[in-house]
Amino acid sequence: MAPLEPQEKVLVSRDFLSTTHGALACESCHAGNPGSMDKATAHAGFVPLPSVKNPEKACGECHGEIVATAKDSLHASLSTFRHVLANRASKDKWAHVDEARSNHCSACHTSCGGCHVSRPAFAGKGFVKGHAFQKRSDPINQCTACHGSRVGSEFFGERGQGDVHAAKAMDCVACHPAKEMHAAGPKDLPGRYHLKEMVRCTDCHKDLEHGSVRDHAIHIGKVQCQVCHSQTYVNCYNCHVGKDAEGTPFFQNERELEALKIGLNYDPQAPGAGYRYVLVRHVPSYPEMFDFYGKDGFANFGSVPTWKRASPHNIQRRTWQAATCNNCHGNRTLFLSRSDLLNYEVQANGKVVVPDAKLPRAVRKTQKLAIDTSKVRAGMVVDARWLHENLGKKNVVVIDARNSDAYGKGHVEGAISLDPLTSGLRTGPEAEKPFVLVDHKAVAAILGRAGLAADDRIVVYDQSGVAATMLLWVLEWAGATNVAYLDGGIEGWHAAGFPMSTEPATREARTFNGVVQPSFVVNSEALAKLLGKNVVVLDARAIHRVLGETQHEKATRAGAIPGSISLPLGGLIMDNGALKPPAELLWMLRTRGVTPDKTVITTCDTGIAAADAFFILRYLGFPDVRVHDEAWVVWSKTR
Amino acid sequence: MRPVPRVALLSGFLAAGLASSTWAVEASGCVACHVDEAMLVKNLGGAKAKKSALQSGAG
Repeated sequence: MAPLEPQEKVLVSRDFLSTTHGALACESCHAGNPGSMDKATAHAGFVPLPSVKNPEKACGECHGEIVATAKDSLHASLSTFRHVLANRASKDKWAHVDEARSNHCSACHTSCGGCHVSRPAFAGKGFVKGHAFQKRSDPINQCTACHGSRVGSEFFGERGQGDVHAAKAMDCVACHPAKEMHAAGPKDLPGRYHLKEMVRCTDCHKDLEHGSVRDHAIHIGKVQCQVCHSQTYVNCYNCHVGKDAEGTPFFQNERELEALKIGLNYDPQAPGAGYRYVLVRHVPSYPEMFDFYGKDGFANFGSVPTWKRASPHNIQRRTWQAATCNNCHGNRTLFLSRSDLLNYEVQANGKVVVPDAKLPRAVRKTQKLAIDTSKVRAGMVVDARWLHENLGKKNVVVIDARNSDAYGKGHVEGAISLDPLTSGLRTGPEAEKPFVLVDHKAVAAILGRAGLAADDRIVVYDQSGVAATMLLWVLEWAGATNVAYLDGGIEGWHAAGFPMSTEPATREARTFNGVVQPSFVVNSEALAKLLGKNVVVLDARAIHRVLGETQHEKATRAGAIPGSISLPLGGLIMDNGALKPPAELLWMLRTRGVTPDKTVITTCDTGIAAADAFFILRYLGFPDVRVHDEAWVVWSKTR
Repeated sequence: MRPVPRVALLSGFLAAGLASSTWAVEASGCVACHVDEAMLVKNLGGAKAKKSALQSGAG
């Protein structure tokens, strides 16, 4: 979601004025003094968000039946937050817990306007369509403006492959209609899954137990749908809250970790949820979370799980855990265990942990997956332990591909800083062809000045994998012959307990001396000629880009290359820079028709995600991979 | 200016047709400013979000 300038946020479209709502006098909802042209006088008594302050007056006069329940909806009241916090808090500490709830948790609530007129307050406000009222909420500017980190990223493929419903161009309202969104949440609702109007998969996918899918008949009712149909999702740890020097409340998540865990269903009383197993997501609550407001607020912390039932919005028909019976059955790591718990949360999750006795047993006779991993170029990925053991060895060069600020705060000892996005390896945004590689001589000169030679053992890392794998593509194109990616990046290094340094490292300039690999890049003209042949064009952008719901600011239009296959980069690299096992990646690619017997051309908006996908496919052993570095930004201008 | 009751106003507009329906808001000082991007830029220069710089993570 692109940020709005202050004037954009309040600019009323002339088209709005000829709508039903536009015919109303502004002050009838917003108060103020419309007769004045002086800003301060005109806004005296002004109500910026009328449906927050008084929904019955602002909206209820015409939409009374809707407002009667919507004013108490979960979006408006966040009543389940209060319920959970009250359960964790001791009664004598409730005042400060409630103050923290009000300052931090309640910032997320919204009302009619935040779903039908403007971006919600939490997302910075601002009209979506010049104050036009939209019956159907905008998925980008409204729903995922708040539900972004988890729902939005997972739905659109900014983490994982995205959701099959998103790929079918279904918006949020398609599954979450007004009946659910406007439903009143009873005051003491234990959790959102207890809302009787809550959408269920079976509202659309009916009679699954009698369908053609054998596994539905076996698992339905015992296993929540998402257990088989979700991908990895983000788990949050240790949300720290406080107020900054100006008194503005903030919260910070200490850690976010992409994973998938199955737990026992601790809440079978929720309507339609008599499952034995559910997916569980770690929530960021911890005993000291609200200590800024007063110590020991959560005396009953153990009364509510911190691994909570989850319904990640990243549904796929086929998933790795369900690819074959024993990817799940008998797979201890997939099921929440005592060792997954932090010390403070053992009691809280007593009903969620799956003891060995309740682990589904491995199936004796099952179909095996024929996945050929023999071509994987294992040397192109190293782990933290390997790097630690090989630091300082002759010709081992470590590159930190993050920006210089991040490098300055701590990096692998001896690593040099080389941010591929700012070091002149590509043309700038204003170039005739923006974001494409500069010529080989110039690239080789930059790499040489950094102290690199083509035959060095070059290991690259960053925070998320995005910059590091992009640089690895540049290095291979320029002729480097022995490159590797640090699996898990700086976070994995840190988590492994290895030291960080703040001492900048440099290397003496050398001659890079690499032989360019022109076949690793393809321009738009050549790509157009290859379409329809034994070529897969893999579009690594988020789904909203591929569907044309959003566009890059430098693209002349929204859209995608004809015939391209959508596979968001998040499906190939986890968001902390860790890689899934090669067998899983190869299997997932195969489900999309991306197989090593084909030439694979990767593309995106500006060449970065395409380069990242290139590296992963090279690592997996694909023999012919090429990056369309002109990408959609150039393609959209010329084709 | 005394607000016109909205139900009555809407009924009137529907009867009169859309073409003549915008007089009330067109007459408003609110509209005069809020459809004028240049004026908004002038009036809102330097406005900034109230979100703390320390905030990280979202929903």
